[in-house]
Amino acid sequence: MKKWSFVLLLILVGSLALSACKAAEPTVEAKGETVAPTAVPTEVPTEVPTEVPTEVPTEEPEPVVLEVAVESAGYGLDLYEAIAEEFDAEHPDITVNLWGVPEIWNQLQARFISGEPPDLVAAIQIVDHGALMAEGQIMPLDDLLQTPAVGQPDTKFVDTVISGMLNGGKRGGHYYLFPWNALTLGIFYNEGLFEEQGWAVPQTWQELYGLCDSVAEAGIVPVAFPGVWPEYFTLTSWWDLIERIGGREAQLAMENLEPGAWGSDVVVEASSLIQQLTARGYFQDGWEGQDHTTAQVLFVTGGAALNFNGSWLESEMRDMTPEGFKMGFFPTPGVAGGKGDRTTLRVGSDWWFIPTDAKHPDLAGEFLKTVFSVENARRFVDTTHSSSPIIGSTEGVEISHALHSTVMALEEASAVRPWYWQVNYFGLYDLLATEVMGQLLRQEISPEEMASRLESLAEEIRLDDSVIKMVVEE
Amino acid sequence: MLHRRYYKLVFVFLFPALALYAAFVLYPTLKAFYVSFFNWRGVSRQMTFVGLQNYAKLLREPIMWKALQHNAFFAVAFPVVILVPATLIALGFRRKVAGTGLYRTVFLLPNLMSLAVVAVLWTFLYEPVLGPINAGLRLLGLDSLALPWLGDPSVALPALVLPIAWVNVGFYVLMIHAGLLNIPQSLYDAAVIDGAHGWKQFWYVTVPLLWDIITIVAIFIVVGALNEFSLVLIMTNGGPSRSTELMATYMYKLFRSSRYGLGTAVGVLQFSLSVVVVVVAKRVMRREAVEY
Repeated sequence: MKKWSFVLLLILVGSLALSACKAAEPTVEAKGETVAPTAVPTEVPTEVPTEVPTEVPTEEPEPVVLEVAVESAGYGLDLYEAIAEEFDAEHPDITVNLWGVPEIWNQLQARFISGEPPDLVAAIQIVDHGALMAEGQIMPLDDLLQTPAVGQPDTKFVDTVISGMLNGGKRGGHYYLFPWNALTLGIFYNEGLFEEQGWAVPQTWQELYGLCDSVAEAGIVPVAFPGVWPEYFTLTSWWDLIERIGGREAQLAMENLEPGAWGSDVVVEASSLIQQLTARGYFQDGWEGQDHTTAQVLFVTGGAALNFNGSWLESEMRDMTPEGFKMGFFPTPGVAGGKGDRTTLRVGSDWWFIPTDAKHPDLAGEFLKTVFSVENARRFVDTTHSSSPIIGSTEGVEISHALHSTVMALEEASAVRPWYWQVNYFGLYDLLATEVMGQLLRQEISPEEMASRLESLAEEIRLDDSVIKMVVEE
Repeated sequence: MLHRRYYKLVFVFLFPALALYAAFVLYPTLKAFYVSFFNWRGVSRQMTFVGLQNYAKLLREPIMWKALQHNAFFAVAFPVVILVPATLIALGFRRKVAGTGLYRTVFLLPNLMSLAVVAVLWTFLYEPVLGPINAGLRLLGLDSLALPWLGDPSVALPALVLPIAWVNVGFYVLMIHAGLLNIPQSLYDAAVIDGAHGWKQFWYVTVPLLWDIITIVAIFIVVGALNEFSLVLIMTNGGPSRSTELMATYMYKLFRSSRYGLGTAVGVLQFSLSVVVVVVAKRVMRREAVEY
């Protein structure tokens, strides 16, 4: 009996092992850009039915179910459920099944792998859009963007979006992702304190040093910074400084992994300017071991004058910000003698997209346009107190001073800059955020060493054929 | 020796557990081995066979070696800061003092807490300006020791040992205490008669009879050190400057950057290392069984 039990156990384990060996057929990785599948059918049916049906169908066709998955972590689901109900009412033959959870990718990943994704996805957290685009999992929106916007029949959908906001979702000349929000990145300041003390918003980095000296003399911490998360600099001013110093061409050279771009004098100078902030003692005591919440609390309670951050700061700190705190925003200051415009703005976004394997891509496109009509964009701004990428989304909406400040910066920006390398070449971002930016700020490495390490990794990625290279042109 | 018909019954009762184990442990483990030989982004079924390239990459990757060193540090430190205090506390429970039942609960409480809560709690405790640890050190005039614990690469890794130990000690106190309860008091009485007190009782009576439990606890702790993840991820995310990077956090980051083949290879290495440690530890700590 023992022998038979053992044999059965072996069969069970062996069958499981064999099923593990069965795999999808390995495919050759696509090198370079993927071919964009088109959403518009190109074949016209040639056969015309000649017989008149004699039987009249007695049952009404079931409504088409449009599945929309919206990550609930950032903005909740209330607004989108309301929009879905309105869409249902306007389209009796369609039922929108809108659902959402925090960290929605945990639920969607297996569905994408099995080829059964929802019709429309809105995600905030960990979604590798670059990988999805590289493997043809996301449908291009090019055709959809050329159709009339909802509520503005004389305007193309693409023309309702703030210029440059769509670029972050563009690959190989095609638009794949639609921006959910407009997350402006730069420097927040205690505007009330500035007015009290008569301080001006700095226009150049040198003026920023002067401002920090004045703030320190007044007994206030110039910059509240989270040492545990040094990427708060990479997210904002370091990348801006690259352009301020070397112009857009310096950034493009880095985006396209050109030899020497990541180790250039521009990168060294930008890194040096950043390092001076700690060398001159502008951060709070103990900054090395403090996280972003601690630094942000210091800022909103008036303990520090400046905070490098993004436009989510106000919402995140709403419960801890005292009444009357006036939060302002300004973009990364310029650099005297630099090639770049000081008003360009680094704007990030979360994204909506239509999976290639969506059952109802056309309907998904219509729902997407409805969500991002001007009217619904205003509802978004009103209910979430966040920026929308849609032009005119703040008209007639009462918004906070901080949000107004970021919107003004967006409107005055000569260009909106996404960055692609964070998505395309995550290793570079990881090295910056996890290692070298912190080492630079703690004075453990020099700007030259930092640039050298970045250049080494960039070269490694450039020579690695398993990493798909994307060409960035604008 | 059971009658032959009882083996069928045993197998019938064992089968569901075995099936679940095969489905949720064996199969994923075998699949992980398989995936580690491919480049896979984890967003579709597209996989490219690369053979041992992922392993070759890992062996050349400085981050991997750094992570391994950090796990090794934990594997040496944890037995000292977990096993020793757990044993002493369990021995303390043998004494019949008021409140022993309460102490048992109190020591186990950290183990029952959500790791996210523990991480937030200890991040606050270590806060350089407002945190109680540094505040206490300054109060005692030890300002030079009031360091940015989680922000200084030279102290961040040792600083993580304390919260991890705090979470785990209670569980092992229970295990060792259960083992101690099985040692008859008569042996200690006999030892007293033979002139053995205190330390000698511990070394010549308690340790030999508790050795199997100690071996299991030590193996659990060392394997736990090799697989440590959650607290480190939340408290430092492997920083500052990768000074607290572990194999598990590195694997997580590889998954986040859609490098599932490489990440799985890290997992396979981690698993293999754990198996080796268990085998070696069992050999090294093997001794003759003591019966009474």
